[in-house]
Amino acid sequence: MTELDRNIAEGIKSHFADVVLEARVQRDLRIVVTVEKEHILEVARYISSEVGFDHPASVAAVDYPMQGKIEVVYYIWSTSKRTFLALKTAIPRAEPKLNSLTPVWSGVDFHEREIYEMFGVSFTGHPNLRGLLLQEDWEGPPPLRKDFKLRTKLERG
Amino acid sequence: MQVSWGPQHPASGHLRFILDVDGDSVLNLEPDVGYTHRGIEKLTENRTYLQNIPVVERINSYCDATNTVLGYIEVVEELLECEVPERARFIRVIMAEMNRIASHLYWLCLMSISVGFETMLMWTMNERELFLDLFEMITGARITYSALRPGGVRYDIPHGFEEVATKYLNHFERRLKDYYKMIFENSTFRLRTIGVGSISSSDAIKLGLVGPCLRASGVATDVRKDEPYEVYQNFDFNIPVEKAGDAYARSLIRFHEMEESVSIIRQALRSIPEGPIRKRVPLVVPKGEAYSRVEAARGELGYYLVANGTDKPYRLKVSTPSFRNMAALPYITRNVTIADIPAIYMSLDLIPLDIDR
Repeated sequence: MTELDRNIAEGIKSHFADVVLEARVQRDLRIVVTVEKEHILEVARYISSEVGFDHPASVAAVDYPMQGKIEVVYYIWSTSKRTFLALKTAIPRAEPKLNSLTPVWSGVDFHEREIYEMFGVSFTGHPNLRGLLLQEDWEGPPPLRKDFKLRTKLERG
Repeated sequence: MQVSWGPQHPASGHLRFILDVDGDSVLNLEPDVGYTHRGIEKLTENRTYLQNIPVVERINSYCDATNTVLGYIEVVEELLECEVPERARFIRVIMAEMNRIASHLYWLCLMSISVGFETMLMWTMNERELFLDLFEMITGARITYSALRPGGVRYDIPHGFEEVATKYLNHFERRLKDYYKMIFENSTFRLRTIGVGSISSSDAIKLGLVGPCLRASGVATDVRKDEPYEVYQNFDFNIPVEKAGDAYARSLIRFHEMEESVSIIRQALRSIPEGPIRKRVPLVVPKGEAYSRVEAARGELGYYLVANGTDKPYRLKVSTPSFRNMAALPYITRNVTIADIPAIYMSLDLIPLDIDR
């Protein structure tokens, strides 16, 4: 299994030598590909149509306020190769914009809407970029960013 | 015209569908979710790894508590790189499969209500009680157990459990045969589900469906086989697959999964080794990140954990099966009648708690 993973990682790395920052095998069935944010759409198209990663599993965002970036990770399963890949990119926190990957995997629609709502990342080209889980009149910073603090004490009076 | 279906509809649970209708046929469906959003991902960032166990259990507490916690335990253990005693892994599998059966029985009750077959509610709830009784024997609780923890499990299987479980499983297998005749050969149920809400395998893959919904469309994918966790590689079981992709096929898959789960529990009870049930593990998780996948009752459940070397997660992202299966709804409800919406919705087995988190 690890042999297959390594071949996939090296194949992606060699095909996009100047765009893919890193392609490594974290462990069995975990390939991690880090790309520059400007090129995420073309890399996603390639790994979906040429490499065969067709089954979107999860989209996560992680906020790093100290480094001023938000990391967005797409997790994709391949039904033909039976392995799992993480497509990572980092976007600046001050201008959180990213190309939507809904044209490649239509299943990431709701996941991207959730990240838009929880992290304030706007996805260019998303067909229906609106809030999903929070109430309609929600005001305040995106709640899953680190500068949104939970109230820890009861308010009295 | 726009019609709101839910959140007070008897079949809807805590979510709403905004339907664009023309007469009786649905042109477009827009899910409106979030009525049970509790911010669990944010809560976990403010609690320690042990305190988080009951919190993540609430993601899907009343159906599938064990599998939901198991995914979290798996991802924490991957970063801790800790050893887990063999006996604990067997107990986890037994509890996970018992929870799968209890969850599918709960779904069967809702599914039969949605097609107007309310007798089944009493039947399946009755059998679900047997498994809740077994859970009570192990953990003392019936719905939310918090029985798993990093490094093992909190409770050992009590004396006499195997005899009681075997008795219940024998009874349950006899009842499953009755269920098949009662539901799957029932002409009304067949009329209301065959050919309703079909989805092709290519669409199902593209939309990222999981679990029984994906396998009903002819895609043989199950995390227990693809990436065996715990001790699933020791057991001999099949992955039921159907071709049609409609509500009937999805129902049939869950029915056959219950049979397979009974077989796994029997094998696990036969081969469970003696030994300790937990090991001491550190409370601080080293820096790193991991993604764990488990096959919950509704399908693949994924946890993405980013740890920063403290006793609290830096970020815990949960990708729940209901959230992913929800993506199918707008596709498979085009040009159906409003009366078919409950059957389609229930056949996907969406739990609003699971979607909203």
